[in-house]
Amino acid sequence: MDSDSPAFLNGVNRRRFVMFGGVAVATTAVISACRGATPPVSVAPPTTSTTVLIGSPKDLALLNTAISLEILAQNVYTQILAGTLVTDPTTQDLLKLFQAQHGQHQDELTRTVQAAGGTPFTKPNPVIMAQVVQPRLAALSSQADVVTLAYDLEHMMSATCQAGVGMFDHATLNTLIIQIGAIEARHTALWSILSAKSTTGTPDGAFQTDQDAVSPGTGL
Amino acid sequence: MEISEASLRRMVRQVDDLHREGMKTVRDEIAAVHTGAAARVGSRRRFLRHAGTGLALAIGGTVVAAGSLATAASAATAPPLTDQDIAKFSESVELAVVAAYALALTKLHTPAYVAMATTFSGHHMDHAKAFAAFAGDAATATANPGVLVAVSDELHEAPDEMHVLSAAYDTENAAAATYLYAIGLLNGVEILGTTASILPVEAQHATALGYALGKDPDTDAEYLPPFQTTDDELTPATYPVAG
Repeated sequence: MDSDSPAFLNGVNRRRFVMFGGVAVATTAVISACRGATPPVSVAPPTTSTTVLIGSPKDLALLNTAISLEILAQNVYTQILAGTLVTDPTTQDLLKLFQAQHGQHQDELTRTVQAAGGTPFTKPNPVIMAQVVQPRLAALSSQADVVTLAYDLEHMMSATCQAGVGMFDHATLNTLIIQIGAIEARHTALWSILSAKSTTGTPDGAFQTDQDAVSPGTGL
Repeated sequence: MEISEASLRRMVRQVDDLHREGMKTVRDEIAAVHTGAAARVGSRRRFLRHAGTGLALAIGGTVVAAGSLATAASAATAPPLTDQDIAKFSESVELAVVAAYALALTKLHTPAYVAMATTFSGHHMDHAKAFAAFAGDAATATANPGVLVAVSDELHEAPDEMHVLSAAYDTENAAAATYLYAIGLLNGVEILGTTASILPVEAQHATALGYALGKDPDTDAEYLPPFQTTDDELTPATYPVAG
């Protein structure tokens, strides 16, 4: 998707689909202002940080979308760990480790948004949570369900990060986003090992970013 | 964490599915271009030490200028790498990894490991073709000599399957680091997108191999790091393309 994609239009309530677990889920995705009349803002961080970024609205939307998904993943894993479905110690350990790593990703993305003069998003992505993840959480009935949900979640996040590469106005952000996306891919690989779901085909095509990735600005 | 052949096979198929889905996109993008062991068996650091030796064996006298100590100086005077340079280099790395897996397969006998190596080798061949397309006339269709010798040394010395898998694990992690390095240099949207679609696959290969090796994230910080890094990246300065 390029910067002329409809997803980048200002303030559009756009009905679209999010691929999740191989299913196209219709969402009423509120696309925030990702491209507008506001010129890119050159911001020097207020303190002693050496990082100076050019924070275009599009870049900030990409970063904040990623933040919203990182918070979402932590939230999901918290809910799962609070429940009783996961009894296998290995799975529990992975949930805890990945939850912590998503927190680290959130922190790094948040610092970057702040350095760029933006306002970091602080909530789980409301669209993805309400319309995509929450129904799956409510339907969980086994540890296998949990692993499959975790796989789908990590898969979506990895694809979202991958889709960001090449889209940033500030090219160094390509590196940051894929530094995170590669880790989500590692998470995905481990969930696939533990998942009993069919492997006859990839449910939502991890590398087809237009189909898998959450569009920048969704839910912000 | 125990591993079964069934889970390994399932995982390999999963990664393969992901890869093949991705390659559909890659092929489209290329077409557009043309039309327009665990902790117990060593670490990546060990691999890197061998890599330096391997490079010396590979290209003799030129290694002095291309060795790690000279890398910084070389980089300071070398012209900036173009997207085509990076594509050419990446093609050579991928072909070296393909050759390394061919050697690995002569030392693997457990069916799940053979399947894994065969599948991953196929991925790397596809990656090589993708990068070759971006390299255009600069493509060499030749394995990177330094990378090949470095990995081959590891494999030749490997006394058992776990050590073979460990060498593969190190190589896949190095490839992932290399593409992170590349993404920091590339400019073209198409090659950026392709590289971003390949890096996660290398990372997944490494994860799968790490799992097979029984690596534990509690005791091996390199196994499941919080961020992909460029640690152990392969660069054109350190591993020149043949010719």
